[in-house]
Amino acid sequence: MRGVLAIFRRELVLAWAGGSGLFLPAGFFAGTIFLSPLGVGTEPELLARLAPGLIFVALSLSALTTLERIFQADLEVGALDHQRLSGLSMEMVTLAKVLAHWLVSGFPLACLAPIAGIMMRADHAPIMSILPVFLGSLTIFLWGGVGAALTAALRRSGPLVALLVLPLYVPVVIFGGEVLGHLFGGEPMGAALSLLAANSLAALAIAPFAMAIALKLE
Amino acid sequence: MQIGELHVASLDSLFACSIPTGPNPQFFLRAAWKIRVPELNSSTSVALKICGLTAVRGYNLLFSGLDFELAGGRFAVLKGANGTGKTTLLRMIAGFIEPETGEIELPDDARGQGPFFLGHESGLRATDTPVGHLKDWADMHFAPRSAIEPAIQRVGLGARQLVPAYSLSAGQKKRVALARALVAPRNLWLLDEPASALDVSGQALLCELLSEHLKSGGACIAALHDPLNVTPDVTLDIGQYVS
Repeated sequence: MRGVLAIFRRELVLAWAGGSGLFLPAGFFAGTIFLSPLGVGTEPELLARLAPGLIFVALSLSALTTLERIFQADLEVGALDHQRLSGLSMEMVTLAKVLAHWLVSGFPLACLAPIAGIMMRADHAPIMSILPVFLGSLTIFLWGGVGAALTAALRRSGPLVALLVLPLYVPVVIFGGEVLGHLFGGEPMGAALSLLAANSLAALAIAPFAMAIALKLE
Repeated sequence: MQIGELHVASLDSLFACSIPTGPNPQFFLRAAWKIRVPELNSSTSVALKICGLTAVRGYNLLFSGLDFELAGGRFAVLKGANGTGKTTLLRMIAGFIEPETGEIELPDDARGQGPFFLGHESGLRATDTPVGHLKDWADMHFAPRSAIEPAIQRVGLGARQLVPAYSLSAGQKKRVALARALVAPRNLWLLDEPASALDVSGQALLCELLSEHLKSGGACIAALHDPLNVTPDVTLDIGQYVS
């Protein structure tokens, strides 16, 4: 466990020291939310109806801005070889990397959800609206990690990652949008939350193994 | 079960039931049972055994029918022209590439956490510092952190230990890589052009560390173009196996 924690800590430290890429997804997300009323008009009813779906679309696309670097950065300098030789299980190593990456780039997006709701003139913007975005971003980063692992050895793999993982984001956008719609309308979250959470758990169970196998292939 | 309802007869069953524990720690560490203190002084032990190895890269056959055995305490030099597959062979031994045919056997000691691999890449991300990197290295390999400070002094990076890798020279990065072997000792060393980028004192340091490693019973296989100041016990010429 100490070894896996070391990888997790290393990723956090390097992400923090790396600087520039850290707030890119959050900036992309905030920018999308900020610009959309300028594009579609400022009628409160229209914006409030658009808000849940738009937040999840912005979430899935802004995650794509950093995904390709999860494994590529380590592969390029040979650090991935060392992690493979260390005797740690690659499933845990890849999971630690994705979680560290998510904590830095995905979790801030979840915290922005209520603010995004207010900006989109939602009737209610409860603090609970963090929850569906939290679950959704976790799923998005886990599946994204699989795409990143499959394309780690390729140059400029961003578009390919997008092509691979966007179909996997479909349930997140559908269920997440529905939960958020209920929350913004002041209703209980309903069954869609369970489905969203189940989707996250499935990703958590499958993605680490898929990532370990994908990295072995390259 | 509430404590209040407990009576003498149920005490047995209480103690008999198994106490639930957390997740099996071996889940987090594959092959945990193989990790033990390596017996470094058994110089007759086999450190590496290769049988009928064939390597293919793309559509090219690199070498075929390679047989090789290396005992503990021995130093093998890998020779061959550019593109004959020296790096490929080392990466196969490390387990990064699956051989086309043939087998590579590493004894349990070496397989527990794998050999020490020193390749062309530094293994340092741009913002890694030598100390930070070696701390992670020690934790990843379950080695004590107390070995880091002496290792850094030994490779002569005392004054540069907090400098991020983007400000280190190629030779200094190589020295960090050498310090890894001191922080977490391994039985088998796989060195791919270890002397490249090292200055004269760096090469002397490399030879010193290598001699100590061999003296303590460890084995080493190194791909070299220029000979080191350590006499090799075996020379393996890959050119022989190229068809």
